[in-house]
Amino acid sequence: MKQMEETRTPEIVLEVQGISKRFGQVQALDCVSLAFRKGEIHTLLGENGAGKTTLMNIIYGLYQKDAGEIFIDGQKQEIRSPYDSLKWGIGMVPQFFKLIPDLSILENIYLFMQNTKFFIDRKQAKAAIQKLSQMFCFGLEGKIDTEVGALTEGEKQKVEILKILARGSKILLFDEATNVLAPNELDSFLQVIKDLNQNGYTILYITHRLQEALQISDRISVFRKGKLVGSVPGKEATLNQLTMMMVGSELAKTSTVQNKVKGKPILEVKNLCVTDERGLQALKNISCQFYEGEIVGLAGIEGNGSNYLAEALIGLRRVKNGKIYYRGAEITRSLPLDRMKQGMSLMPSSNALVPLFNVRDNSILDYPERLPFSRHGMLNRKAITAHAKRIVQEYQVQTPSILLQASKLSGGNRQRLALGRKIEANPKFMIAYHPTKGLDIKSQSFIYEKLLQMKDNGATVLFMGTDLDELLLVSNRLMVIYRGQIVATFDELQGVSKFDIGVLMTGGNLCEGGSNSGN
Amino acid sequence: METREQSSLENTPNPNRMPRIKLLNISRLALASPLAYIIAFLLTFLIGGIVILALTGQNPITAYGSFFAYSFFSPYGILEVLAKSTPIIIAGAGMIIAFRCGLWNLGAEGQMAIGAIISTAIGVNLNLPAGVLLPLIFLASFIGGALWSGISGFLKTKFGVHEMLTTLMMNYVALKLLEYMISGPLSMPHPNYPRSSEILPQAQLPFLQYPLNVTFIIALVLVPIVWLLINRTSLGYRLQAVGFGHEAARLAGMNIAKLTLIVMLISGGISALGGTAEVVGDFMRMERNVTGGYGFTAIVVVMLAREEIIAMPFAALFISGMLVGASSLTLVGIPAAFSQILIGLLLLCVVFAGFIERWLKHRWEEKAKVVC
Repeated sequence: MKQMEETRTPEIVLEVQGISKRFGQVQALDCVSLAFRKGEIHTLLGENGAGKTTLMNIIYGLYQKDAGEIFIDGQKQEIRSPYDSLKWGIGMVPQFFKLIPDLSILENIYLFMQNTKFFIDRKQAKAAIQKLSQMFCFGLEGKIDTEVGALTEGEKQKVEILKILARGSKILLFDEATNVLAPNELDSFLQVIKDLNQNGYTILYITHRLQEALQISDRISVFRKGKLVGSVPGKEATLNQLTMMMVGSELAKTSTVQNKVKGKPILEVKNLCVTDERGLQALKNISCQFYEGEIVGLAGIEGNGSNYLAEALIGLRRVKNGKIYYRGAEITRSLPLDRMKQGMSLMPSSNALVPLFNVRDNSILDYPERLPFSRHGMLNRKAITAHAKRIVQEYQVQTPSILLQASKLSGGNRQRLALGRKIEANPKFMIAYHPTKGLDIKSQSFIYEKLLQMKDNGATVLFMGTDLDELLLVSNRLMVIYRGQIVATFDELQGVSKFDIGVLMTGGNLCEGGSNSGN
Repeated sequence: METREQSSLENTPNPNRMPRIKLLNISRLALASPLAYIIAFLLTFLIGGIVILALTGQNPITAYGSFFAYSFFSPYGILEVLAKSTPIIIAGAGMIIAFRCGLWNLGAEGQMAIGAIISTAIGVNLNLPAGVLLPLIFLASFIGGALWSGISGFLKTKFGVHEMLTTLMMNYVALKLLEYMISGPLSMPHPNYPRSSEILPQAQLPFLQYPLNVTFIIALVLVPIVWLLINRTSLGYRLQAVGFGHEAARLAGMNIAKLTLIVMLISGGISALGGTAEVVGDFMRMERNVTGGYGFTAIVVVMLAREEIIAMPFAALFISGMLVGASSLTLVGIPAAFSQILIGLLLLCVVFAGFIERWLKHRWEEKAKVVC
């Protein structure tokens, strides 16, 4: 925060002061002040939901701030929409590209340029774009009339960059830019960032990957839970220091859960490999074993494969290689519904309910054809109503009526209803995928309580999450996933520090304390 | 499932503070919908009246009077309205299944044509007793229509082609197929114009009172069956879950592709029975206009009923009243096609009324919030 005081120098191009933003019950940004210097690469670092993307969207005009001020070149400005921010020379490369696949590169870029002429001057636009592409070695000069739909993700990203350059932006915002890239595209992308920077562009780079931040940044500002933790010069920053800032206090805070004697094995995963939609490897040789009566935490930052693991285990995603055994029988190829009938369950972070169905109808979504809810294919309204009322009461779903449309429930109540529905099916193995994401503390602890209860009754829970406080709070054991691989397993959580896990989650290595153990 | 049940909001207004209509003791919110409908109808006839006045110089009131007097107040007119509504109700019943499950089946006209072709082919050629022949005709038509719309379902689940487009296009394929059939394979010997031979007498369903046929009863029975299927069976539950909560249904382990295909099969199968009804209950043979555009009219009817299954037959009766009344318009010097204009206007106004309804509800809810 010290930088704040010395910001009133002419080289500050963009400054935000006291920015706050609230979404429902979540304070996404809490009085954040930050200054960006001309010609620097300034990385905003933080976990998912730390507030960095929210800040970016406010600067770009996609969200409106609740409080605070924005200064551009020392002048206070109101940014009501991207039209304003683009006018002031701020451009954003979004995480999910906003390109029209059926139009060519030239047409996509031309759409974005400030056009005052009635007729399209293709020649001039083409020349300008080619010059930019050449200047930064994008290699798109020959493809300028190619349809964007035929490009690779890396090339599409370059088109997005060209869009804002052609529009004349001087401050470039990059939102989690490397998420879409294949590993081999990463280096050339970081080089592009450096080249842009050397040509005088100011770069705001958002990421949750420590390695990248260390590689390219002039300054790094770390966010946690909507607050700016601090800013450090990129050259002096160390992996340890940044990890500590990202995950909170270094004090080891370990599980209060006592390790009991291991129960019988319930699920075994052997050399599991899964590919993502683009055919890239998403999970690599995952092997692990789960026992009855335990909660196993899986710590992993989004984008590192835990979602693929959740879907593969429940059968929603095809397994490419490897095997899954449930209670001794192989289930690698069995249908999700069959796995659920056998006692497996998936508790998602969202989308657990049909928004247009009411609470009552949502209470049987996982098992509409089971007794007593339906008999001979006909629904039994009485049984469903009783079931829904029981869930609403037992799981403290606050709703005026079980006939309320689910879309009108608050986030916490939605998750309570979903969790109640899952637990009422009496699952033996539950995959809880970020089950407390975006919830208030009360709902969070309610969910922990219910999961711990399940465990005490002999069921197994695989708890996937990012927040180390909660993972250490509920888990008996803990695994860490990074880039599709289990990089560490802690069978004993006494004496394990949040810091160590944080290092592992972000690709660090415990022995060397900083070198990259990923690929 | 009653997905649209209007209840008070959990985190916004207090339900007890919502302004209530004292006499009926219902929330004012419940009145938004009928009010919007009344506005839509008034608007339709107001604009229609202006058009009558401007184009023909006739008194709109007299014109409307003769229009509805025939359709709804003359014995023969009423019978004709009921008869005309039969294929519309059947096609609508098929179509509404798709709509209630989040899919757009706009192919009822083509599915009716397929139903008509199959019924004629069987009804002319298979000399079986009525007790066997009639169920066979209905079953085969259902399967034919199901497979026909199943093509759209397959294209959607396999390649992601939007069913709105394919069902619409398949109409024209089916209608051309029908024309080919009546001038080729199913043509009667030496026809004056393209048409098939008459179906066997035992395949012809009797009239209750001409022109009203027994098929009308079939249409009326279909509606509660469809309602039951959608609202009271676990299949209907799952179909709707897939339609309105795709991701939630997937996470609950439902087979999205299979369920989507089932919707298209059932929807197309039932719609095809509309064509069957026309063949075995009205024309007793196949002609070019045997489907009569009723499959397209059914789209309007489903929209007018706001996809409510129970409301659909009433909408069908009203629209068929407007179609029947068209002929009496010519008596006062207005072209019969004017009723088509009115139907189009009505549809637009009902869509517009949807906006009014939402606006009214929003306003009343805001007010209630302030009171709290």
